[in-house]
Amino acid sequence: MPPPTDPRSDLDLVAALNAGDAAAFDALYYRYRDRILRLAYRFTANHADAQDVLQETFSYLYRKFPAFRLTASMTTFLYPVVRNLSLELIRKRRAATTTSADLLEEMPGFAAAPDEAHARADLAAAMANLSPEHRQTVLLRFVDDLTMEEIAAATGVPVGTVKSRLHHALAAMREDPRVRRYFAP
Amino acid sequence: MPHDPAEFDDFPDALAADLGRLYRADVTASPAVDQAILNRARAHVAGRKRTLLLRRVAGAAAAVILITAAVIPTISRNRPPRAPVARQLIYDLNADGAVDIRDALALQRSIDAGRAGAHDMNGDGVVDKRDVDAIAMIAVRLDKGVAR
Amino acid sequence: MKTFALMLAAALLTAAAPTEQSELAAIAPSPATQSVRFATVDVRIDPKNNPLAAYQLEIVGDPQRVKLAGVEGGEHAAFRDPPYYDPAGLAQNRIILAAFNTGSDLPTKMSRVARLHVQITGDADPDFEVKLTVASTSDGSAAPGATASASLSPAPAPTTEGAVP
Repeated sequence: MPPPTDPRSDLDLVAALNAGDAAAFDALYYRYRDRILRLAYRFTANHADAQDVLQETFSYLYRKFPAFRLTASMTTFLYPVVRNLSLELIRKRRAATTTSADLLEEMPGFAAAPDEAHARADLAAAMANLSPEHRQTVLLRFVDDLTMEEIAAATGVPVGTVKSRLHHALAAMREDPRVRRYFAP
Repeated sequence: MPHDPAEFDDFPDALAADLGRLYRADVTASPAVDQAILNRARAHVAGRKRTLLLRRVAGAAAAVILITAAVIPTISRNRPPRAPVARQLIYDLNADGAVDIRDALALQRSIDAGRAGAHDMNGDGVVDKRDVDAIAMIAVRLDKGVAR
Repeated sequence: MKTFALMLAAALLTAAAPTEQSELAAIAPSPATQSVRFATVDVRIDPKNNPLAAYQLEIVGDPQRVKLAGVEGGEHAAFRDPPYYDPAGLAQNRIILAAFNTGSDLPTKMSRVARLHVQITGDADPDFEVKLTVASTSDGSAAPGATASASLSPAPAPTTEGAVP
């Protein structure tokens, strides 16, 4: 059962953890659990694998203490961890010999209702047509609500590159007949 | 190329909403996984605190040091075991060694008969069509990455 | 004169004969000139007189020529809704489809269970490989002898109604 929302900031919780306050980890965990799990599920498309990634992500985090310094937002810090752990899991399952990031395809969900199937298939197809980098940037910005700076830090590219990727992704979507209707005036 | 921030702020709300529905997976962690993670974190933090304390009392008696030398490896060995996470086997409802559409059919028939039992596949606390859908989506995954 | 006639005939024959390059072009047009079209693929299952309650199959097309663009349901009421599928299959050449129905009105004869929308590169019709992994009745037991196939939908019959004015 999640405890009542802890009012302390991430920095305060990290400081408390560094000082040995184990309960501060509970607060951090519940604050980011769902976001991490959803992101892991998006990468792995599998509930069990997503929970594995969730466990490994927070194992990675608590092993950082007591000498951890949070120098960016927790989301920015955790995103590449989730991504890399998901990639590692997929690579192991495929017994691949390379670690190509192309293995990591962010998977859309499935239509919950039959009458939504076509619309979702159209959108999924349009997103599938984007390059992995463009698709990832669109999702980080408009599904995960990260800022440009957070996306840059999380993906390890300059802010200018993030903006360029978004620009090209949106241009492609405006031209795609399957989703052009969203951009109609 | 200059990028006008307004260009991105004008992203259609309807598209953002549909992307959210498509990609923002409705998944929750099971309570068992929550407890496993938190227990291990607490054990790790407690173990580090204990080590720090011992270093600060370096002049402690030999008996304390001997007891500590015995206790620390024991604590390490007795670290809470990794909680069993959902494995593909739990989706194999008909126990035929494979997860396919027949397992989804079996769960739907159980739900219809009012005997869904403990088959909460997505950890949301209820057994309903979403759990059936979860099994079906595993069945049709192109990347059958989950071990049988 | 005779020599000139022979030379003229040889020149004419040479001009008429296709060059190696144009022959090659006719056999294998350059990628830039290959046609791209959209078509539909009908996926059918014949449960051999057993009531089909669930199916699962994999469809694979030529990776060089086929890209999946969409999925529709079938013709029988039991499978009219789009089947389950992995959206990652879209824009690829293979997909796994699956569906079930817990009702009593189930198909027992061959019927179309799904329709795929595909993008085809090239003029020739591609073949599709189908692997039927599940064809079962309501209790989950296999429908013995069930078969599946996937082929391009037949072209619609030309309309005989009044011409456009």
